[in-house]
Amino acid sequence: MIPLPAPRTPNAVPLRTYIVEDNPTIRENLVATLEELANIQAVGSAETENEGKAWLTENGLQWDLAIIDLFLKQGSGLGILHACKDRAPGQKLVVLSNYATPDIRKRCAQLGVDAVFDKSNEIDALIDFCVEHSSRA
Amino acid sequence: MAISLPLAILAAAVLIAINETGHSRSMAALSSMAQVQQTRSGVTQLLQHMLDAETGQRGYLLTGDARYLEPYESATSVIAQNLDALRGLYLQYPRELELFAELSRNVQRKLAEMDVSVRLRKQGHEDAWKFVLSTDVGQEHMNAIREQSAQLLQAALLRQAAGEAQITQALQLSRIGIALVAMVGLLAFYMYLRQTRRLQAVDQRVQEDLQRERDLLGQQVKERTASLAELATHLQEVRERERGHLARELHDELGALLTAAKLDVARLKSRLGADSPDAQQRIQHLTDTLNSGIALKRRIIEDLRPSSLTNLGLVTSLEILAREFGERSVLSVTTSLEPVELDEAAQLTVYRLVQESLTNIGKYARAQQVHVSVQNYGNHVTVEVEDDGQGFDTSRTAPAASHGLAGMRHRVEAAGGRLAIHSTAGQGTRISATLPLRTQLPRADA
Repeated sequence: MIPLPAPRTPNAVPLRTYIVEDNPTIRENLVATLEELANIQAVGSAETENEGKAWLTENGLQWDLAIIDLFLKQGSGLGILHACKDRAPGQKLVVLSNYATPDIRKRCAQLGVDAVFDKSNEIDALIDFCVEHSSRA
Repeated sequence: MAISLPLAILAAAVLIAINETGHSRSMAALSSMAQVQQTRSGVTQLLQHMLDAETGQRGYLLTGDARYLEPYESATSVIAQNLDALRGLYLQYPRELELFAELSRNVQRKLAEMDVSVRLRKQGHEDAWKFVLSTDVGQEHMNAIREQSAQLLQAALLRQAAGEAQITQALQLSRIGIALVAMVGLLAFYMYLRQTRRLQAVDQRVQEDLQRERDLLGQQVKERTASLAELATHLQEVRERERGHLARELHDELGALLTAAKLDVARLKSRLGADSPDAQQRIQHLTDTLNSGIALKRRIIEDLRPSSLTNLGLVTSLEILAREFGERSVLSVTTSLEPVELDEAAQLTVYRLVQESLTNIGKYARAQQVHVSVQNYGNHVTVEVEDDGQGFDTSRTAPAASHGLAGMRHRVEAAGGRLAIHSTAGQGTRISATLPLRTQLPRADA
């Protein structure tokens, strides 16, 4: 893989990102990595379905990107995806999961998800996705 | 048995003894009776001859006619023989012998008296022979002879009566003995029958006890087997649960750590400019290492709990399993898999069956080719794993492998199926399981 140094433009508006992930290690690392490599700004995070669903629907215009894990301490990421079906066109919804099977990908696509990434193998693709969208924003 | 046989032998011995005694006594009595007969006729003849001789003597004395001398002489000549014969007969009876001696003395005297008178008559001494005749000497002798003969006859009669009594007694004894022995024999036979019946009863009781014991043991074996089967099922469930738990743990926790590491690597990579190729190389190596770690984690998790089963279905999972086994063991593995509808537990059973069979093939079979097939027959499904390896004697397997096979069989049977293992030394092995398919009810709205 050809390493792409992230284009850091301090003046650009950062991508406001909300993260639903129940594992603190991944959550913290993910935020730090994306803030460093892509121009994102973490606007909040949740560990459960209810919490994530509530924040995302109540703050409909406060976020540009949401990264959702499917298996959570309570509920399921699928419920959040369902709740965010009617988001604004610019808002991106991606799934980062350990269970990125074909079946899961199909169901996520049906729920209007923009992309599905495997936690083990597709971290780089997620970073690329964030870089692309933050530079576009 | 203990009493009746000696009793029967004793009775027979007593019977024989009584009979033998009776027989010999009867024989003795008979022979003595024959002697008595002889004695009697001898005594009677003696008396007769004496009378003949006296008659002849008187006739001659009165008439002087020589014709009368003839019967006299013939009688006297026989008398001596008579006496000899009688003496022989009386030798063994001392009391009667005495009487007989007296008789023979009287006979001798009478003969002597007759002889004297006859001689005197021949010589013509008329007065002399008349004198001899007139004395009562001859008369006395004759009376004594008569009386003693009568006494001897009487004694003989007594002896005969004694012999008869003895025979009667012997017969009586025999009768009593036979009756007694018959009774004893009957008793012995009855006791024998009773004993036989008792022995039969005891034997039957022993048989019943044995049967009861066998039934009890059979029941116990059945119960133990059932509880062992339950235990085995339970252990298998526990094992699957444990494996599931371990798989989740690895998946979630180890997965998170590896993901975090990959994020860190991504950050490091972006910081290293293109001006440090060495560090870039190390980073790339680290990425590769992490990817191998992730792959290893995946494989361990798949081994523990085939998530592919729930995600991809049985057929795909078996294809993956067969392909990976073929790659690992460098064997030619072919598959022919038909889609089947099995519940999750049955799918896991089939998966584990194929997995275990492939493991065994890899360990023991020394095969070149392996074929895995799943066939759908509508109401049941057969799963077969066949190899062309060295096979084995199904009655004698290595303990570890046989436990594996037993576990397989148990698992298949717990799922309501049957497992058959066909193997001949040198001709490969075929493991074949038949599992029931849940009959799918036709949908009412279809």
